[in-house]
Amino acid sequence: MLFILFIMRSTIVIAFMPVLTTANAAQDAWASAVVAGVGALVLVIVIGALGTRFPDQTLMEYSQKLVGTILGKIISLIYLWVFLFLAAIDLRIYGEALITGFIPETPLVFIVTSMVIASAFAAYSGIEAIGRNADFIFPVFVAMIVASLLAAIPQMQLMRLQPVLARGIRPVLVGAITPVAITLQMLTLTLLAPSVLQPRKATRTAVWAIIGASLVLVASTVVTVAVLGVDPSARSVFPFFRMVRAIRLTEFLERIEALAMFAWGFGLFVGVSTFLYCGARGLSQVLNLNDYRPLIGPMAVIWIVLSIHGVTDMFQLRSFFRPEVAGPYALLLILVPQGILWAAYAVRRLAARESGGQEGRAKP
Amino acid sequence: MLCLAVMAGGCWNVREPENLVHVLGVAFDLDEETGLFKVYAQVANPIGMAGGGAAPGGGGDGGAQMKKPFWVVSARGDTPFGAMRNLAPLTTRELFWAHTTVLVISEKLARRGILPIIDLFERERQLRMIVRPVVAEGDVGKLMEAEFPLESIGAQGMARGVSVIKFQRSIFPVQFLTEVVATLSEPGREVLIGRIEVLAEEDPKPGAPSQPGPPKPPKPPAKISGAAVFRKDRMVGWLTEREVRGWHWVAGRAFRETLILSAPDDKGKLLTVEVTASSSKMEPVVEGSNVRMKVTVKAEDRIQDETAPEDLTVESELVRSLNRRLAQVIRNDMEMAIAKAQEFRADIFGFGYSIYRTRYRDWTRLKDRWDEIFPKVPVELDVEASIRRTGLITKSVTVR
Repeated sequence: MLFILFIMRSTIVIAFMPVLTTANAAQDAWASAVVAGVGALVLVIVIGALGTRFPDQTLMEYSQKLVGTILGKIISLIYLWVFLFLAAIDLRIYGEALITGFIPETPLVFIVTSMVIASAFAAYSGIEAIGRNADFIFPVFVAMIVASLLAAIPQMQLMRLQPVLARGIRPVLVGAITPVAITLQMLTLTLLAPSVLQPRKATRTAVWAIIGASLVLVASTVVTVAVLGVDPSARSVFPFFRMVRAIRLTEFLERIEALAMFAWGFGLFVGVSTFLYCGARGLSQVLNLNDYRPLIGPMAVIWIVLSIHGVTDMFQLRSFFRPEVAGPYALLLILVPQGILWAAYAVRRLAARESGGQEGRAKP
Repeated sequence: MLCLAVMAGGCWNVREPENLVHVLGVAFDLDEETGLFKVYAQVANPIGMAGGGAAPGGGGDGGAQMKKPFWVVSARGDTPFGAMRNLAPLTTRELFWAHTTVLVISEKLARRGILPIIDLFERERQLRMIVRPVVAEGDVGKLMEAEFPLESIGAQGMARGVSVIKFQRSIFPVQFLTEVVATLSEPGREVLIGRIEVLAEEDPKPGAPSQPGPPKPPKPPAKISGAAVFRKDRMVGWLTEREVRGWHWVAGRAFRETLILSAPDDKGKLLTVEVTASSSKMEPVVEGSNVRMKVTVKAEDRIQDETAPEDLTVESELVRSLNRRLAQVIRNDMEMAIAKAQEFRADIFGFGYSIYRTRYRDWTRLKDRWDEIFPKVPVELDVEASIRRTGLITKSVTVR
């Protein structure tokens, strides 16, 4: 599960590098990455801690117990929407990168469909299959990112990172908003946790995943800026990708961007299959179905449609990732439902204590 | 599923390799009469390549020439990309640009502004930022057509030439286009792009076609040296070899360079040293609106030849004197380069950038007036040169 969460988070933040492209943190983008890491940690602890109170239940189950069937279902549906939406955006970004960089004439629908079909198979086989996939992909994924970064070292000019924090902390904070917003992904934790061997440790695992992913993000930001210069990277649609394109180790070892794309594809596959699995499982519980599998097919179709028609072009996609859009949107979706659940939990707990009864956890 | 599998086999971007040709070098020029962009593409000729060493086939007309291994085609257009696409009607195969290794910009276009070219290279996926940019002095068309004696393909020759020169001389700023773009975007820093000078050919005598006898050995078609100075994205002038060398010292980029000193004892005799390592440190001193720069350069050298028989066996005043002379030569180079840059009002050394990096507050105050400040900035030079090695011998042969 560490691997799943790690891969999910690194994939999107590195691909799009929102710390650089969404604000003008410029050479201090690495600081944004650090701040974003901390912000994401806070959110993931908020999300995860409640889950550990109900170690063997998913959010869909315990939310209904905490705030009643109807409100619980509404909250669950909000979360399901998040999964749907994020996976669609992930897919779209990947598709756009492929089309922009490699295969401009292939219809978007084909790229997205093939990815979703592969992911649907994984999701159909259950969480264990996804986990095993992640175990397998993780070393490859990390190796490729590390290889890209190492290969870029000779071309780094660290002076491009100066002046450090010269324009104050504000741009740094603004730059951190979007990557924090993408912590929405970590809501999958609420569905994955009950499936792992030690659900109580799930939050700790998620914390490590965030730390790992943040380190990767900081390193890639530093390398990208030092190789390309501040302005060229901030203007890039896909900064990391562009940095890799600029690598030229020797006469015959250049143009290694396929490596990065490969890693990205792998990462996306893990991400999408997780979203698909969590979406289907969550929906089956909201609808009180015994099995989530029949839902995967129809959901996959919805996914494809949404990722293609949800966003019309790159302009819209980028507009969504502006801090003033993505920030409030994500915080609303994480904090409000979580706030309601935490409040309900606290109230129940107090009530339980007053009645001198059992622990709140056991008697919701 | 079957349907998908079928589609996966024949993807949308299918390109039969035999329908493609690789563009190996691209040049942009400005057409003076029309004001249009003119593009030259040097294409690897698949037929010429295949026939490489073999003699022309038995059949056919006896006078048929071997096809050149490359072919140059040019077109005009309102925009750089428009010009590139206007090549399509003139070629029988699709041009594939991903293997372009060199980007030649004509002096005319450089003086007009290189931003349109830079934008295209950043945006278009087939073109890459790891091309070698050069500014051509002379006729671009002729440069693209030129055959370099050691190379089968001109563009590859140029790309090789402008990168290997650093192993022998520091008279040409070796860089990728990535660096040009970064420099353009950095405050208080101007771009320097290396120069390729097209050398004049000897005119063949008219009225004396195809003389019998051995063919003349080919002459080098171009010279790689010097650089074009830019202010923003527009070229403002040339730096000579020596000035570019001075730039290398200031920037701490000199890798190998040959310096000639006059021997202290024997008047008129010279000795040559080669720089094997150099580094520089740039430190701005800002007091109010007075800016000074301190540049410290360290260079290590070795002796390459002596025309005056000097004894350099052990430490001596002679060696120290040579070190001082060496430092003076380097200082002269730097002064020439700085004077020229200040004359052009182009901060190619990044003095302003060093203020921006280390003294951001001062920079916000100075940046609007930097264009006026830079030409008057006094630069303190501190050069420390030391001859470390004497090569394989200590002194010349003693002739008896």
